[in-house]
Amino acid sequence: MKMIQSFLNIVFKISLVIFLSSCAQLYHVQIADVAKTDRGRVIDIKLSETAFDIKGAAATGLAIAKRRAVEKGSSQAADNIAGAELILALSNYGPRTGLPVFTDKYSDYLLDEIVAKCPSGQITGLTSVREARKYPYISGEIVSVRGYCID
Amino acid sequence: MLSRLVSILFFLLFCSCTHSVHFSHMSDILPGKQKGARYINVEAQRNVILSFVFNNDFVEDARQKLMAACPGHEITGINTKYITSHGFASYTDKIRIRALCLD
Amino acid sequence: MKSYVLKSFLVFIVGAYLSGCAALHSVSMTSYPTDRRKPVEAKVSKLVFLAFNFNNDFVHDLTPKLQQQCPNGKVTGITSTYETRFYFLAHRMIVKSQGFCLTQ
Repeated sequence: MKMIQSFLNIVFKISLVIFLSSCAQLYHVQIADVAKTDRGRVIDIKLSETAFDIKGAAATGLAIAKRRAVEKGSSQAADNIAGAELILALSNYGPRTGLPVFTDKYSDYLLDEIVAKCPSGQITGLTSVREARKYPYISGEIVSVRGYCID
Repeated sequence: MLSRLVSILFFLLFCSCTHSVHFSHMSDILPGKQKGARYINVEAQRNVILSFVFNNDFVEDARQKLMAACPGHEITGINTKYITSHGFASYTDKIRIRALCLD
Repeated sequence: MKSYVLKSFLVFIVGAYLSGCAALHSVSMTSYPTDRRKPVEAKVSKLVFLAFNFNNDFVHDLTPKLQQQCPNGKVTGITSTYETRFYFLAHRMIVKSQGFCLTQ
Protein backbone atom coordinates (compact mmCIF):
# COMPACT_ATOMS: atom_id res chain seq x y z
CA MET A 1 0.00 0.00 0.00
CA LYS A 2 2.80 2.37 0.98
CA MET A 3 4.66 1.48 -2.22
CA ILE A 4 1.63 2.31 -4.38
CA GLN A 5 1.24 5.60 -2.52
CA SER A 6 4.87 6.61 -3.11
CA PHE A 7 4.58 5.53 -6.77
CA LEU A 8 1.47 7.71 -7.22
CA ASN A 9 3.27 10.55 -5.48
CA ILE A 10 6.15 10.35 -8.00
CA VAL A 11 3.69 10.18 -10.92
CA PHE A 12 1.90 13.25 -9.56
CA LYS A 13 5.16 15.20 -9.21
CA ILE A 14 6.30 14.28 -12.74
CA SER A 15 2.87 15.27 -14.13
CA LEU A 16 3.07 18.58 -12.26
CA VAL A 17 6.53 19.32 -13.69
CA ILE A 18 5.34 18.48 -17.24
CA PHE A 19 2.18 20.56 -16.73
CA LEU A 20 4.06 23.59 -15.44
CA SER A 21 6.96 23.46 -17.88
CA SER A 22 6.57 25.26 -21.18
CA CYS A 23 5.74 23.70 -24.49
CA ALA A 24 7.10 25.13 -27.72
CA GLN A 25 4.65 25.45 -30.57
CA LEU A 26 5.56 26.30 -34.16
CA TYR A 27 3.00 28.00 -36.41
CA HIS A 28 4.80 29.34 -39.45
CA VAL A 29 8.28 29.30 -41.03
CA GLN A 30 9.52 31.00 -44.18
CA ILE A 31 12.99 31.45 -45.68
CA ALA A 32 14.04 34.34 -47.92
CA ASP A 33 16.83 34.36 -50.53
CA VAL A 34 20.12 32.69 -49.63
CA ALA A 35 23.14 34.42 -51.25
CA LYS A 36 26.13 32.70 -52.82
CA THR A 37 28.56 33.73 -50.06
CA ASP A 38 30.05 32.49 -46.81
CA ARG A 39 27.47 32.21 -44.07
CA GLY A 40 28.55 35.34 -42.17
CA ARG A 41 27.63 36.38 -38.64
CA VAL A 42 24.38 35.10 -37.17
CA ILE A 43 21.83 37.73 -36.23
CA ASP A 44 18.89 36.73 -34.06
CA ILE A 45 15.89 38.90 -33.33
CA LYS A 46 13.07 37.79 -31.08
CA LEU A 47 10.02 39.95 -30.31
CA SER A 48 7.41 38.61 -27.95
CA GLU A 49 4.27 39.42 -26.00
CA THR A 50 2.66 37.66 -23.06
CA ALA A 51 -0.82 36.30 -23.72
CA PHE A 52 -3.49 35.12 -21.27
CA ASP A 53 -6.21 32.60 -22.04
CA ILE A 54 -9.03 34.65 -20.51
CA LYS A 55 -11.63 32.93 -22.64
CA GLY A 56 -10.41 29.47 -21.65
CA ALA A 57 -10.29 30.38 -17.96
CA ALA A 58 -13.78 31.94 -18.12
CA ALA A 59 -15.14 28.87 -19.95
CA THR A 60 -13.72 26.58 -17.26
CA GLY A 61 -15.21 28.78 -14.52
CA LEU A 62 -18.62 28.83 -16.21
CA ALA A 63 -18.59 25.05 -16.74
CA ILE A 64 -17.90 24.50 -13.02
CA ALA A 65 -20.59 27.03 -12.04
CA LYS A 66 -23.09 25.40 -14.41
CA ARG A 67 -22.45 21.93 -12.98
CA ARG A 68 -22.95 23.25 -9.43
CA ALA A 69 -26.17 25.01 -10.46
CA VAL A 70 -27.50 21.81 -12.07
CA GLU A 71 -26.55 19.79 -8.97
CA LYS A 72 -28.43 22.27 -6.75
CA GLY A 73 -31.41 22.19 -9.13
CA SER A 74 -31.33 25.93 -9.77
CA SER A 75 -32.65 26.27 -13.31
CA GLN A 76 -32.55 30.11 -13.14
CA ALA A 77 -28.81 30.08 -12.36
CA ALA A 78 -28.19 27.51 -15.10
CA ASP A 79 -30.04 29.74 -17.61
CA ASN A 80 -27.95 32.75 -16.56
CA ILE A 81 -24.76 30.76 -17.03
CA ALA A 82 -25.94 29.56 -20.47
CA GLY A 83 -26.47 33.23 -21.40
CA ALA A 84 -22.99 34.10 -20.16
CA GLU A 85 -21.58 31.20 -22.23
CA LEU A 86 -23.22 32.63 -25.36
CA ILE A 87 -21.72 36.06 -24.65
CA LEU A 88 -18.36 34.40 -24.07
CA ALA A 89 -18.58 32.58 -27.41
CA LEU A 90 -19.27 35.86 -29.24
CA SER A 91 -16.68 37.90 -27.31
CA ASN A 92 -13.15 38.01 -28.62
CA TYR A 93 -14.48 36.58 -31.86
CA GLY A 94 -12.32 35.71 -34.85
CA PRO A 95 -9.51 33.49 -36.09
CA ARG A 96 -6.46 33.17 -33.90
CA THR A 97 -2.94 31.84 -34.03
CA GLY A 98 -1.86 30.97 -30.51
CA LEU A 99 -3.42 32.92 -27.66
CA PRO A 100 -4.64 36.48 -28.33
CA VAL A 101 -2.54 39.37 -27.05
CA PHE A 102 -3.53 42.90 -25.99
CA THR A 103 -1.42 44.72 -28.56
CA ASP A 104 -0.83 44.10 -32.26
CA LYS A 105 2.24 46.31 -32.36
CA TYR A 106 4.79 44.14 -30.54
CA SER A 107 6.42 42.97 -33.77
CA ASP A 108 6.13 46.20 -35.78
CA TYR A 109 9.80 47.13 -35.65
CA LEU A 110 11.35 43.84 -36.73
CA LEU A 111 12.86 45.38 -39.86
CA ASP A 112 14.42 48.24 -37.86
CA GLU A 113 16.09 45.71 -35.53
CA ILE A 114 17.53 43.77 -38.48
CA VAL A 115 18.90 46.96 -40.05
CA ALA A 116 20.40 48.04 -36.70
CA LYS A 117 22.04 44.65 -36.12
CA CYS A 118 23.62 44.50 -39.56
CA PRO A 119 24.87 47.98 -40.52
CA SER A 120 26.72 46.65 -43.61
CA GLY A 121 23.36 45.81 -45.19
CA GLN A 122 24.59 42.44 -46.50
CA ILE A 123 22.01 40.09 -45.01
CA THR A 124 21.15 36.68 -46.36
CA GLY A 125 19.11 33.60 -45.46
CA LEU A 126 16.50 35.43 -43.40
CA THR A 127 14.30 32.83 -41.70
CA SER A 128 11.02 34.16 -40.29
CA VAL A 129 9.40 32.12 -37.53
CA ARG A 130 6.07 32.56 -35.75
CA GLU A 131 6.06 30.44 -32.60
CA ALA A 132 4.86 30.31 -28.97
CA ARG A 133 5.94 29.05 -25.57
CA LYS A 134 2.85 27.64 -23.92
CA TYR A 135 2.02 27.28 -20.24
CA PRO A 136 -1.37 26.59 -18.66
CA TYR A 137 -3.61 29.62 -19.42
CA ILE A 138 -0.59 31.75 -20.38
CA SER A 139 1.81 31.87 -23.30
CA GLY A 140 4.61 33.85 -24.84
CA GLU A 141 3.66 34.69 -28.44
CA ILE A 142 6.88 35.10 -30.42
CA VAL A 143 7.90 36.55 -33.77
CA SER A 144 11.53 35.80 -34.55
CA VAL A 145 14.00 36.16 -37.37
CA ARG A 146 17.43 34.63 -37.88
CA GLY A 147 19.74 35.73 -40.67
CA TYR A 148 23.39 35.92 -41.65
CA CYS A 149 25.12 39.29 -41.79
CA ILE A 150 28.19 39.62 -43.99
CA ASP A 151 30.30 42.40 -42.39
CA MET B 1 -30.29 40.56 -14.00
CA LEU B 2 -27.54 42.80 -12.62
CA SER B 3 -24.98 39.98 -12.71
CA ARG B 4 -25.86 39.31 -16.37
CA LEU B 5 -25.42 43.00 -17.20
CA VAL B 6 -22.07 43.09 -15.39
CA SER B 7 -20.88 40.00 -17.27
CA ILE B 8 -21.92 41.56 -20.61
CA LEU B 9 -20.03 44.75 -19.80
CA PHE B 10 -17.00 42.75 -18.63
CA PHE B 11 -16.76 40.81 -21.88
CA LEU B 12 -17.46 43.82 -24.07
CA LEU B 13 -14.83 45.94 -22.35
CA PHE B 14 -12.20 43.36 -21.54
CA CYS B 15 -12.39 40.68 -24.21
CA SER B 16 -13.09 42.78 -27.28
CA CYS B 17 -9.65 44.29 -27.58
CA THR B 18 -7.37 41.36 -28.28
CA HIS B 19 -5.27 40.64 -31.33
CA SER B 20 -3.67 37.66 -32.98
CA VAL B 21 -0.53 37.93 -35.12
CA HIS B 22 -0.84 34.98 -37.53
CA PHE B 23 2.56 35.41 -39.16
CA SER B 24 5.32 37.91 -39.78
CA HIS B 25 7.32 37.31 -42.93
CA MET B 26 10.62 39.02 -43.82
CA SER B 27 11.61 39.21 -47.47
CA ASP B 28 15.18 39.35 -48.73
CA ILE B 29 17.10 42.62 -48.26
CA LEU B 30 18.91 43.82 -51.38
CA PRO B 31 22.62 43.77 -50.45
CA GLY B 32 24.27 47.01 -49.35
CA LYS B 33 21.40 49.30 -50.33
CA GLN B 34 19.78 50.04 -47.00
CA LYS B 35 21.85 53.16 -46.22
CA GLY B 36 19.75 56.26 -46.83
CA ALA B 37 16.66 54.15 -47.49
CA ARG B 38 13.27 55.38 -46.32
CA TYR B 39 10.95 53.29 -44.14
CA ILE B 40 7.44 52.94 -45.55
CA ASN B 41 4.36 51.64 -43.72
CA VAL B 42 1.15 50.48 -45.32
CA GLU B 43 -1.91 48.76 -43.94
CA ALA B 44 -5.03 47.30 -45.52
CA GLN B 45 -7.92 45.85 -43.57
CA ARG B 46 -11.37 44.33 -43.79
CA ASN B 47 -14.14 44.04 -41.25
CA VAL B 48 -15.90 40.71 -40.86
CA ILE B 49 -19.23 40.22 -39.10
CA LEU B 50 -19.61 36.72 -37.68
CA SER B 51 -17.62 34.69 -40.23
CA PHE B 52 -19.03 35.93 -43.52
CA VAL B 53 -15.96 36.37 -45.72
CA PHE B 54 -16.37 36.15 -49.49
CA ASN B 55 -12.99 37.28 -50.81
CA ASN B 56 -9.48 38.27 -49.76
CA ASP B 57 -9.23 41.41 -51.91
CA PHE B 58 -7.72 43.44 -49.07
CA VAL B 59 -4.37 41.72 -49.82
CA GLU B 60 -4.42 43.33 -53.28
CA ASP B 61 -5.22 46.68 -51.61
CA ALA B 62 -2.10 46.28 -49.46
CA ARG B 63 -0.01 45.50 -52.55
CA GLN B 64 -1.31 48.54 -54.42
CA LYS B 65 -0.70 50.78 -51.40
CA LEU B 66 2.87 49.46 -51.10
CA MET B 67 3.63 50.29 -54.74
CA ALA B 68 2.03 53.71 -54.37
CA ALA B 69 4.16 54.45 -51.30
CA CYS B 70 7.38 54.02 -53.29
CA PRO B 71 6.68 54.74 -56.95
CA GLY B 72 9.51 54.14 -59.41
CA HIS B 73 11.99 52.85 -56.84
CA GLU B 74 13.07 49.50 -55.50
CA ILE B 75 11.33 48.20 -52.38
CA THR B 76 13.24 45.76 -50.19
CA GLY B 77 13.20 44.29 -46.67
CA ILE B 78 9.45 43.82 -46.83
CA ASN B 79 8.03 42.75 -43.47
CA THR B 80 4.50 41.45 -44.05
CA LYS B 81 2.26 40.75 -41.08
CA TYR B 82 -1.23 39.25 -41.01
CA ILE B 83 -3.12 40.30 -37.89
CA THR B 84 -6.67 39.76 -36.65
CA SER B 85 -8.19 42.17 -34.12
CA HIS B 86 -11.04 40.48 -32.28
CA GLY B 87 -14.34 42.09 -31.45
CA PHE B 88 -17.84 41.22 -30.29
CA ALA B 89 -19.32 38.88 -32.95
CA SER B 90 -16.99 40.48 -35.48
CA TYR B 91 -13.32 40.90 -36.25
CA THR B 92 -10.91 42.94 -38.38
CA ASP B 93 -8.25 41.32 -40.55
CA LYS B 94 -5.19 43.46 -41.30
CA ILE B 95 -2.20 43.17 -43.58
CA ARG B 96 0.48 45.47 -42.17
CA ILE B 97 3.67 46.05 -44.16
CA ARG B 98 6.87 47.86 -43.19
CA ALA B 99 9.57 48.04 -45.85
CA LEU B 100 12.54 50.02 -47.15
CA CYS B 101 12.06 52.30 -50.15
CA LEU B 102 15.36 52.82 -51.99
CA ASP B 103 14.76 56.32 -53.32
CA MET C 1 -44.62 37.05 -38.06
CA LYS C 2 -41.87 35.89 -35.69
CA SER C 3 -41.49 32.55 -37.48
CA TYR C 4 -41.30 34.36 -40.86
CA VAL C 5 -38.42 36.54 -39.60
CA LEU C 6 -36.65 33.49 -38.16
CA LYS C 7 -37.08 31.55 -41.42
CA SER C 8 -35.78 34.48 -43.47
CA PHE C 9 -32.75 34.78 -41.19
CA LEU C 10 -32.07 31.03 -41.48
CA VAL C 11 -32.34 31.18 -45.30
CA PHE C 12 -29.92 34.13 -45.33
CA ILE C 13 -27.39 32.30 -43.12
CA VAL C 14 -27.59 29.04 -45.14
CA GLY C 15 -27.44 30.96 -48.44
CA ALA C 16 -24.41 32.94 -47.31
CA TYR C 17 -22.55 29.81 -46.26
CA LEU C 18 -23.46 27.86 -49.42
CA SER C 19 -22.30 30.69 -51.68
CA GLY C 20 -18.78 30.24 -50.31
CA CYS C 21 -16.65 31.58 -47.52
CA ALA C 22 -13.03 32.57 -47.85
CA ALA C 23 -10.07 32.15 -45.53
CA LEU C 24 -6.60 33.62 -45.89
CA HIS C 25 -3.68 31.52 -44.69
CA SER C 26 -0.51 33.27 -45.79
CA VAL C 27 0.87 36.26 -47.66
CA SER C 28 4.53 36.86 -48.52
CA MET C 29 6.45 39.32 -50.64
CA THR C 30 9.92 39.56 -52.16
CA SER C 31 11.80 42.77 -53.06
CA TYR C 32 10.07 44.97 -55.64
CA PRO C 33 12.05 46.20 -58.68
CA THR C 34 12.16 49.77 -60.00
CA ASP C 35 10.79 48.64 -63.36
CA ARG C 36 7.21 47.52 -62.81
CA ARG C 37 6.00 47.85 -66.39
CA LYS C 38 5.38 44.17 -67.07
CA PRO C 39 3.27 42.53 -64.36
CA VAL C 40 2.82 38.76 -64.42
CA GLU C 41 0.29 36.69 -62.52
CA ALA C 42 -0.32 32.98 -62.03
CA LYS C 43 -2.85 30.99 -60.07
CA VAL C 44 -3.17 27.31 -59.24
CA SER C 45 -5.97 25.67 -57.33
CA LYS C 46 -7.33 22.33 -56.23
CA LEU C 47 -10.90 21.38 -55.38
CA VAL C 48 -11.06 19.05 -52.40
CA PHE C 49 -14.23 17.09 -51.67
CA LEU C 50 -14.82 16.74 -47.93
CA ALA C 51 -11.25 16.36 -46.62
CA PHE C 52 -9.93 13.89 -49.19
CA ASN C 53 -6.66 15.52 -50.15
CA PHE C 54 -3.72 13.18 -50.60
CA ASN C 55 -1.07 15.57 -51.92
CA ASN C 56 -0.38 19.24 -52.53
CA ASP C 57 1.48 18.79 -55.84
CA PHE C 58 -0.68 21.43 -57.55
CA VAL C 59 1.51 24.17 -56.03
CA HIS C 60 4.48 23.07 -58.18
CA ASP C 61 2.66 24.26 -61.33
CA LEU C 62 2.87 27.86 -60.13
CA THR C 63 6.56 28.56 -60.93
CA PRO C 64 6.38 27.19 -64.53
CA LYS C 65 3.26 29.32 -65.09
CA LEU C 66 5.18 32.44 -64.00
CA GLN C 67 8.22 31.43 -66.11
CA GLN C 68 6.03 31.02 -69.21
CA GLN C 69 4.97 34.64 -68.94
CA CYS C 70 8.57 35.85 -68.64
CA PRO C 71 10.62 33.50 -70.87
CA ASN C 72 13.72 35.68 -71.28
CA GLY C 73 13.74 37.47 -67.96
CA LYS C 74 13.56 37.29 -64.22
CA VAL C 75 10.43 37.51 -62.11
CA THR C 76 10.82 39.67 -58.99
CA GLY C 77 8.55 41.51 -56.55
CA ILE C 78 6.50 38.37 -56.05
CA THR C 79 3.46 38.52 -53.80
CA SER C 80 2.23 35.03 -52.96
CA THR C 81 -1.07 34.28 -51.24
CA TYR C 82 -2.55 31.01 -50.11
CA GLU C 83 -6.29 31.06 -49.51
CA THR C 84 -9.19 28.64 -49.22
CA ARG C 85 -12.75 28.95 -50.46
CA PHE C 86 -15.32 26.85 -48.66
CA TYR C 87 -18.36 25.39 -50.40
CA PHE C 88 -20.99 22.88 -49.39
CA LEU C 89 -19.09 19.61 -48.63
CA ALA C 90 -16.00 20.83 -50.48
CA HIS C 91 -13.31 23.48 -50.47
CA ARG C 92 -10.88 24.90 -53.00
CA MET C 93 -7.25 25.62 -52.15
CA ILE C 94 -5.90 28.56 -54.14
CA VAL C 95 -2.29 29.70 -54.41
CA LYS C 96 -1.77 32.93 -56.32
CA SER C 97 1.43 34.80 -57.25
CA GLN C 98 1.82 38.23 -58.75
CA GLY C 99 5.17 39.68 -59.79
CA PHE C 100 7.05 41.73 -62.36
CA CYS C 101 9.01 40.46 -65.36
CA LEU C 102 12.42 42.06 -65.78
CA THR C 103 14.05 41.54 -69.17
CA GLN C 104 17.75 42.33 -69.51
